[in-house]
Formats: sequence, C-alpha cells, structure tokens
Amino acid sequence: MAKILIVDDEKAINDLLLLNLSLVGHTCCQAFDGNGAVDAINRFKPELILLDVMIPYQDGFSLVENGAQGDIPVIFLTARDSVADKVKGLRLGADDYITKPFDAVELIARVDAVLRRAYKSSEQSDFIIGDAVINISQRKARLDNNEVELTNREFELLEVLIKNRNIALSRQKLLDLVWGYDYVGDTRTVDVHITKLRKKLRLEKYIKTVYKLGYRMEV
Amino acid sequence: MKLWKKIFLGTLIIFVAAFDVGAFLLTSFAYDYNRERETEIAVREQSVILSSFTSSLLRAEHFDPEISMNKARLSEIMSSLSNYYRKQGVQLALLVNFEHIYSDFADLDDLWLECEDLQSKNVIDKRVDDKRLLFVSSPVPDYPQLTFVYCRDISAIDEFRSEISRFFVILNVIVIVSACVLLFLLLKHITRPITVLNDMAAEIADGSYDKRVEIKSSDELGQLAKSFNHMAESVEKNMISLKKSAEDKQQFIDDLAHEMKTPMTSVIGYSEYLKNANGSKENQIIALEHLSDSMLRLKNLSEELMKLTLLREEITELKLIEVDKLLNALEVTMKPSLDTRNIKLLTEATLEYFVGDEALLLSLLTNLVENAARASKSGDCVTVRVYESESAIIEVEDKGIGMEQEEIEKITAPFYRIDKSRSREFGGVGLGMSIVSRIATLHNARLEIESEKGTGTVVRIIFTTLK
Repeated sequence: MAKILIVDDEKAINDLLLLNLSLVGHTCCQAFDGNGAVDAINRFKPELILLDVMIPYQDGFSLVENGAQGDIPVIFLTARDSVADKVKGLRLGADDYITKPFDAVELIARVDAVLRRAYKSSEQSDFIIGDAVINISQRKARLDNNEVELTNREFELLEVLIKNRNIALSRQKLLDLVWGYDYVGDTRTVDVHITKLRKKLRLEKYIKTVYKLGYRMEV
Repeated sequence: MKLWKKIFLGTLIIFVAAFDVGAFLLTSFAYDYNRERETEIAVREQSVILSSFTSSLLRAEHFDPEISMNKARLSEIMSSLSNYYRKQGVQLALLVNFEHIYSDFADLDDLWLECEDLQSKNVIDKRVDDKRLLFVSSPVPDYPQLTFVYCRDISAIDEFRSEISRFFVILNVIVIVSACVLLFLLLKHITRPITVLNDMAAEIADGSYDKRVEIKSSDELGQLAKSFNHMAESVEKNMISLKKSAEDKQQFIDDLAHEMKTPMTSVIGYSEYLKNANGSKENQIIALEHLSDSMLRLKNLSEELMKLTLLREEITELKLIEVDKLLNALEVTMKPSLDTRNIKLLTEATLEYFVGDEALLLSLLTNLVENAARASKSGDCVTVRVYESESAIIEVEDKGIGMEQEEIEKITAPFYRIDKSRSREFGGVGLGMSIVSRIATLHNARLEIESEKGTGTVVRIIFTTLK
C-alpha cells in the first residue's frame, strides 16, 4: 500500500486520519506545520500528501504554490466548506479535497482514487486472504490454485470489503456502494451474497458479522 | 399639480383681477371727472356769453325798444358773438318762442324734446354724427321768449377714454407677461429647496445614507434642510453602528463555528472509528483519549461562552474590596496549576481597598495570570501589582515570550490565539482576553498592553472612575 504524509496542526485530526488510513494498510507519517511538512517530504518521500490549509508557518496553499510537493499528488483538507477555498486548491493543482468532518469510507475511497490516477499500475495485483488469492484488476479469484466463478455483484462486494478492510460496513452502506444508490431492494440481498462469498472462497473466518453493525473484512 | 404651479396660477389670477378692476375703476373715475369738468366749463361759459349777449341786447334796446322782436337785429348780434366764439370751438343758437332766429348748427328740433323745463337751465349731452356735443340752454333774463343755446364739442373726453383703455390693455399685457416671468422665477427659486430635499430623501431612502442637502438659506426651508441633515446624520450613524454590530456578531458566529468544527470532527471521527474499525487495543485508547479531550474542549468552550454572555449585563452592585483578600483568592485559585509548571506568582499591593465586583475581578486576574503563565517558561515568575498612580491600577507582568505589535491589536478579538497548540494544551478556547476586556469595560477601566518580543509583557487595567 501507499506511503502517505498527513499534515494537520490539530493533533486529534491528524491522529484520526492516521488511524483510519493505517486500517487499510497505508503507511503514514505525520507533520504538524508547514516546515515539518517540507522536512517530511524530503525524508519520508510520500506517495500522497494530505494537506490542511490552515497550518502554522507556511499555510497549505503557499506550500503547494512554492512547489514543495514536487510530483507528489496532494489532497487538501479544509475545515471551511467555502467554495472559493476548494476552487483555489484545485486551481493550484491539488488532486482532490476533503472537507472536515469526513467519513472514513469516503476518505479511503478518495485516497484510493487519487492514488489510482497518479500511479496507474500501482494497484496491488494479488490479495491473499486465507486460502483465497484475489486479483482485483483482472477480476479473478482463485482458491487452492483453482479459479472460482464469481458473479459481477459478488466480485464488487468482495472488492469493497477488501478496500475497506478492518472497517465495519453496514448492510445499507454495502447496498449503496455495490448496488448503487438507486437500487430498491432488501438489505437481505447483502446477507445472501455474503453467504455465497464466504462459501465460494472459504472466507468464513475473515468476513466477520459485526453485531448490530454489518460486515467487516478482517485481515 | 405641483405646489409652484398652484401658487403661480393663484397669484396670477388674483393679480390680474385686481389690476383689471383697478384699471376699470380708474378709467371710469377719470371719465366722470372729465365730463363733470367739461359740464362745469360749459355752464360757466354759457353764462359768460349769455351775459355779454344780454348787455349787447340792452345796449341795442336803448336805441330800439322793440329789439327783442326784431329777428334780423337779434341775428346780427348773435352772429357777431358767434364769430368771436367759433374760434374757441363753441357754437351758439338763439330761439324765439322755440323758433330759430340764429343757429350755428343744423336743425335741432328734437333737442327740445329732451328738455324738461325750458324756463330753466338745461344741460344735454348729445351725440351728433360722430361728435359728442354738450348743449347748455337757458332763457335770456328779462326776455323769457328768448332761449339762448350754447354748444360745445366734448368728443375729447370719449377719445381720452378710449385712449386710456387702449393704454391699459397694452399695459395689462406687458404687466401680465412680466409678472408671469418674475413669478415663475421667484417661485422656482423659492421651491427649489423643496425639490432638492425631495430628491435627497428619495436617494437616502434608496440607501445612500451619506448624502446631505446643501441649502444655506435662513428661512423655514433652510431650517427644514438643517433638521433633515440632522436626521440623515443620525440615521447614518445608527446604520453604521447596526452594521458594525451585525458584522461583529457574524464574525463571532463564523469564528465559533470554526472553533467547534475541529472538536466536532474528532468526536464524530473517533466514535465512528471505535464503532466500525477493527483497531488494536492501543489505537482504541488513543481514540478514546482524543474523544474525551475534544469533549472537554467543547465543554470549556460552552463555559467560557456562558461567562461572556453573562458579562453582557451591567454590574448592578459595586462593593468595597479588600485587595489582600482578592490577591489571596487569586493565589489559591492559580497555585496548583502554576506549581505544576514551576512558575512563581508574586503579589505586591500598595492599595488597601478598591471598588468593584470581586468575582469578576478575580476572573479577570485569573485570565491574565493564566495568559502570563502560558507565555512564560519553567522557573519564570509572574508578578501582580495593585497600586495607585492618578487612579487605581492592576498590573500583571511576565518575563515570557512577548508579542508583536499586530498581535497586541488582535488579542481581545474572540477566538484569537497567538499559539493555538500551546493554548489548547492548557484547555484554552481563545476567549480569555475577550472576557478580560469585557470585565474592564464594565468597571469603566481601560486595558493597556505593553509587550516586546522576547522580554515579556505587562498588562495594565487602569480604572478611570473608581478608587
């Protein structure tokens, strides 16, 4: 997974980003002001920077204007939901922005999207979960070296669970992410597909049912 | 209809009517007067001519007693008189028993029809052809059968009348036209301030509150303009202060929203994390710590806000405070927190008593000492002095990091913090100096800050009315 530099002067927010990104396997480094960010870029050589706008010494905008980030993609974190700020950030060459407060799943999806765009080939080829080997880019899953037939929906569900591993996703959230927001159906559909996935790939130990919440891929 | 038009038409109608009535009365008075004078002259002249005729007659009678019957002789006398008076525009006639003996003018039989009594003097005003003639007839004294007729041309008074009428018509036109022009200009001049005021009122109503009228006359309109400007001024002043207070409130709300966003984000983020994530025990503890810190920050924020809200009301009761007691209370409150940071608190008081609200002044001192302590490093000391120099002064001094001039200017603004992370370490929310400034204002005191980067800060509360 990717190396990510988190720059935010609020320790609480910085830690929150770190905890969430660590869950899905990213390696993170923290900086708390503009000068620390420049240091960390040189030392840590991140693949992505999450940059708060309002930080001491050098604010996020001037940091990007000065080109401190080089070729590294930048996602701005902004506490203000001012359109002007977002536009300014994007104009300066930011790849995306995230407004506080943010949702963990949204954060991970945006980070993934920016990483995928910036490093087209970097999608990790094989995920090994128990006895199963899953290749997301080829949309193939194997169990004991034998290819397993999965329906489109089953594969998309598996992909969402892998990408948000270690985070519990509610049935409704899974419906929204896999079936789409306009899908009118029972959350029981999710249960049926989860059962099939567990059986086909022998994932009973990894796809956990979390009481009152939903499902979580634990690796 | 506009005001000036109303006044214009009204004045014009009255003026023209008065002028014309006056002209008419003047003309007819002059005419009557002239006619009377002409009549008087005619009567007098007739008497004079008659008496000269009578004397001629008497003289002739001396030679010829029957003369009054001798038509040819009478005619001769008349003709000599007539020839003499004709040059003066007078014509004469003589009748005997209503029969013409001598006449300068044409047949005038019908004239007698108008005479009421031929035995007395008659005056007849008559138009013949295109002339106006005044006849005066009377019997010759001592000769009742003779009637002496005198005639005078008085066409001149008619001419005079028509002449003067023509003159008045021309004068009327000239006077009306010039009155129109002068009245128009005068009214325009008088009503101009009204138009100006009206336009300005419309402009001010549309939002140009800085507009003023410029009318420098001293009449009622000038006074109205003055009052109008006065009104516009207070409206503008109120608008500005309302705008300012609305802006300040908006700024406060914006800042408050911003201030709340970070702890809110943490609370939501960490509770989601604890609920959904399969994190390690260690990470869960980190999350819980941040969660409780954020809650604490929100609690502090709401408490400080509450204080600031309560301070909006005026102090009703000022009491005599013992300075020693106040400083003791300060030490008791601050000691534990200062000890942990290894910062000493020194107090010096040369003033024994003080008028104020004890609880509020303690809160003010606590805030100032806390700020001083945050600027200081371990081992430093914070000094609080209460003394008198012209007026009572409370002073808090530290030897800490100090501030820049621009930071001093912003220090009393709500939520302004020089070092965010350092302030938060001690649970600050950025309202301390706002509260200090508010308490100072409630005591009619003035805040004075002296500071230099690197050498320290002195904050003075200078009481202006209290001792």
